[in-house]
Amino acid sequence: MKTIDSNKSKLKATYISILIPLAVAINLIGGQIALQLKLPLYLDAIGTVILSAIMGPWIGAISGLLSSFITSLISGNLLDTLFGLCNVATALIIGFMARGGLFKKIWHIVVATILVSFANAALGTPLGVVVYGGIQGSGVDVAVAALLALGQDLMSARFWASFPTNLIDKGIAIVIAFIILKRLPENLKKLNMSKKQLKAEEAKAQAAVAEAAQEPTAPQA
Amino acid sequence: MIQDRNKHTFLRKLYPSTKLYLCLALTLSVILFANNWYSLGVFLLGLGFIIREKFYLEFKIIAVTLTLMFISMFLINGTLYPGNDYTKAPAFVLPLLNIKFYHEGLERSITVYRRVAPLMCTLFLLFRSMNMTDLGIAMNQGGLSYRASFVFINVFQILPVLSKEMTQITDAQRSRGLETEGNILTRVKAFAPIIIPVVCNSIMKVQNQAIALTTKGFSSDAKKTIYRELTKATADYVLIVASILLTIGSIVYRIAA
Repeated sequence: MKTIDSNKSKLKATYISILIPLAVAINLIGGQIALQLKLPLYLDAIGTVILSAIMGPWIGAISGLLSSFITSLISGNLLDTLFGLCNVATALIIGFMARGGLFKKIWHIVVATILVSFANAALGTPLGVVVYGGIQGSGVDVAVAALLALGQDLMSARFWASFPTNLIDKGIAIVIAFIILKRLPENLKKLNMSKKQLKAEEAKAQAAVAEAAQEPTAPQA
Repeated sequence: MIQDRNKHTFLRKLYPSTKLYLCLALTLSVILFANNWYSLGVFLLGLGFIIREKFYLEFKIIAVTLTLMFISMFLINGTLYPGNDYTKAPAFVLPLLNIKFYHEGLERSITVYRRVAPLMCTLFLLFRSMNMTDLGIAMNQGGLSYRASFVFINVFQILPVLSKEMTQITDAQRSRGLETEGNILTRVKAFAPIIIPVVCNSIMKVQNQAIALTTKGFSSDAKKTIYRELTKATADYVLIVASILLTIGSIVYRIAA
């Protein structure tokens, strides 16, 4: 059967230019649904997770940066673009895990969630302290204030306030992305290969073709 | 984000990349001058333009965000900032509640707030008065590749579609008995049945969209033309020169100071 090979460079570029805006839009829609359900979470990483799982880490990183840029355009707070670095970290972790085949089982998700939330908290803390002085007018501030009252310094107070929040937030995002990824059509699943893997795959396909040609045709009865 | 195309006010008539230059100049000057009066001036200028351009809804959003930020920043930093010198007398005591504010924490909040507030106000205004498709085209004319500007513009075309789809799916799921109100666990549970259909629907359309784009010559290497025409007026050139001067001035000021 002949299928459309979505790994061919031109078609792949077209896919990329459709999927990046889609991922950004999914990120923003996730945030909108969270807002509509009055959840105290952001939930704005689902698109990035899906895209970096199917397209590889670097495309995912672009979508993460673009989505935080566009969120900040819409909300009017351009300094928030800096938090795109957290999205880049998410994309890189998920992308490299998926490329290595480590995004298939339950424990993969658990590991990914912990890694991603750690990276987000560790990157978001210094950014938050530099841009907003550690307090940014959101729900996490209450936890920060409580930890400050307990005698922590500003950095660690913010880190320990944002790590559990991130754990729930990114956990939900990754689980949902995982459920969606399982149901994707086959030709979209294989787009995340690196150049090396692509070459290996191509060589394999050629070898299979050559083998089929060499095999003597069965004598007709 | 999709705006009416008739441009009748001064800010809406400006060329998109002029606004990008202005953004750069304002950001750098506010951060590098680090002066209370300059920040206040920029803030008031932004407010004046918001009222002149009649962005009342946006003004409300800005006002709420900035007030929330003001309260939490000054309250938490003023009372609990680790650098506070508790041996000294507090700078200010809130009557009745007896909350003590200390000098160091308040100073720090002012340092941060004078950086964030004017920028939020002016940059928000600049981007709200801009048509995003125009911005994408201006970026393309400024040297960004066709594909990258397509990606940028496409986001703003997909967003309203997905948003509408989300409302429809929420209604559909609700009519099948999904509870979207109640305690927090119920609401978290309602998240997945809404987001998964939205995402799956949109991903299923991707293949068709790719074919449609290919048949329209998206992946061809020929030079593409653009339907919209944007022109620069004299005010654009003046503002570009002014913002470049402001940028250089603030950097020089920082190095000299």
